[in-house]
Amino acid sequence: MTAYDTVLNPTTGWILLALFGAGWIALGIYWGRKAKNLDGFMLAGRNVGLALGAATAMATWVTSNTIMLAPQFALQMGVWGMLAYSTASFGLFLFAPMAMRIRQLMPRGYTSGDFIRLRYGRAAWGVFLFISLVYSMAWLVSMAMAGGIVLKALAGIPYEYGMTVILMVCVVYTLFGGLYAVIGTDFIQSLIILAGIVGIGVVVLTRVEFGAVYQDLHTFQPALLNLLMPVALLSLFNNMFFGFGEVFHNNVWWSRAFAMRGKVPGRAFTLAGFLWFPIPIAAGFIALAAFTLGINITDSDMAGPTVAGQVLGPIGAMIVFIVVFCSLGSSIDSLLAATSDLVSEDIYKKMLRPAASEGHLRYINKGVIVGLGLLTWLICLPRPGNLIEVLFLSGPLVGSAIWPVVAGLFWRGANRTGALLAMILGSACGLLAYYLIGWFTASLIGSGVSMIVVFVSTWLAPQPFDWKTLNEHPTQKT
Amino acid sequence: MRRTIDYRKQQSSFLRIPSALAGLLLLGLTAATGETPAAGFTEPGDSPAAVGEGHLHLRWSAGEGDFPPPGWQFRLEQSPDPGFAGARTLYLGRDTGTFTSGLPSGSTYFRIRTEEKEGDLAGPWSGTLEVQVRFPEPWLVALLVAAGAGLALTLLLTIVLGTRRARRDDDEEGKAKTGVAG
Repeated sequence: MTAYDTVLNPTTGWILLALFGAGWIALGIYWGRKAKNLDGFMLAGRNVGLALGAATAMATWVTSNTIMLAPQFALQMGVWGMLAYSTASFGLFLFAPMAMRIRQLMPRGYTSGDFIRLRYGRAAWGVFLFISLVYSMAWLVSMAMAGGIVLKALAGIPYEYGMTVILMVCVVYTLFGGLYAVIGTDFIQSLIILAGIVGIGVVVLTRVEFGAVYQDLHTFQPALLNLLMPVALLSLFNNMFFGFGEVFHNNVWWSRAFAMRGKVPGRAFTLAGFLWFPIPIAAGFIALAAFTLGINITDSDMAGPTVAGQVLGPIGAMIVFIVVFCSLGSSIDSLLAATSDLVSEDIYKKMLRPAASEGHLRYINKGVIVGLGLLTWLICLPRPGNLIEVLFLSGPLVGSAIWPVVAGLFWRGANRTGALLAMILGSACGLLAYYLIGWFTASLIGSGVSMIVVFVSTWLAPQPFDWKTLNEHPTQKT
Repeated sequence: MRRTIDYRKQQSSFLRIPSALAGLLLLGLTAATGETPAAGFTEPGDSPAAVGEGHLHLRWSAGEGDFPPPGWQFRLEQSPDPGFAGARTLYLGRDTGTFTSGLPSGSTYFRIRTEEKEGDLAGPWSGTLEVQVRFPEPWLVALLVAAGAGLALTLLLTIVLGTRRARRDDDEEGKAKTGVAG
């Protein structure tokens, strides 16, 4: 495709991979010693403070997609594209008060699945678990694949090796340290990500002026500055609701709400939203400057790394390499931990072995982490081409879960059957919209249909709920 | 000269001598046969190509070897006119693809050829590639944008009002407990 080779040589890539990989594993083992019981392993002792809480939320939300997809959005849809990606931070802002409510209603809770089961019953719980597991696997696989692809593009490390090493490192330190290790490494990773992206943005700004970028876009790609660009306008709301769905339903975020102490969740998620908001804008600007810098973008999903590598040379490529490794690590570890909690707590304990002891559950949890890592590796190995599309296809699914979660947290009369139908009909209509109109409408329509079903069912047949039911004792049978 | 990537700077010294030799050989061959390398689009495969979102990947090659001989490059032109009046150079360099975006609604035309980096020789223009951009209907966009704004506002209000109500309920519950205790 391009007439030049990788910016970083493979030896440098391997050295960076080995250094950071060994570092994360060592830290995971070190922090893992704090996890004395199940609460410690799964929820970091429910005592996470503001700094660690905000850092873990921010770092988890900076995924490989943020580094790769935010510049792609900017290239494809211009100014609205950058803003559309940034709206994912609104999910963190709105989750802040929800996290406080979750902490208050479920002081002994473990997973988002617990909430749906206690609030709406087993049928809605089953649908919710299906949505959550499909989305989590799609996210996990897309990130592991992205890791392999980026390492190959930047340093020429073969895809299979890069993907395997990244996945293995995350599995090992999550296995040893549980959520303690995840949150601890997230803190360091968030600092590296912020410094790296701000650093690249500043250097790009010294090479090119805002005015010149604007003038070039105005002359050669005026549609990218058009505030009425149809697809961009639609993607703004679609991405916003995709983000709401991802954050509101997924156990990655619920486990953090359970893990933070006192009033920390509200402040931590708000702070994380503010820290995250400018990242896609900076990444998007880097991509929009490509034209003015005379850089040819051959693959839109590699715009960010391509520009950084060419503007900063090997140093830039090293920074991108480290930032991508950190963003992948901070998200893969969180997903491994939160999804293993969901499987061991909601499926194993609640469905198969309600009397399982704490020690036994911890053993199962570790087994699930290894199993998830192995399954992800097997799916990623042949490098299937359509998995990013699967992640986007999960947009309407998670969008349909927004209203059952929100209404369930704040409305005493939310209808149980309504919640179940909202997830099924919202998912179905959203998927139809995906194929009939376009990806940029799927999450919006999925959540819209879900909202109508929840509103109408609750209005027609409210079912009063006793909030105390949510404060389930861990040994209580279902 | 816009969007030019200097191929020679990107190559290692190990590759330079063989490339230069190969270039001389190919140029000699070109001069001897009087032929110039021809370029053609490989993606999108069909013309006209329908694009729903105003952006696309373009791929091309210079025959069997994909890349043109050393000393040669591609020139990609874009125009709103099928006769290429007022055409602009979208890309000049040795890459075999580019990503272009911000295309307006309607038809845009592309063509490509090879040409000498330092010289006047040029290959023939490829066949014209027509790209048709069709955005969603304005009424549908307006409807969905309004729905999106309404949904977002409703969600925000539900969470804000729900939080306030939950706090009020907690306060009342607290007062009731205090009253009972007192």
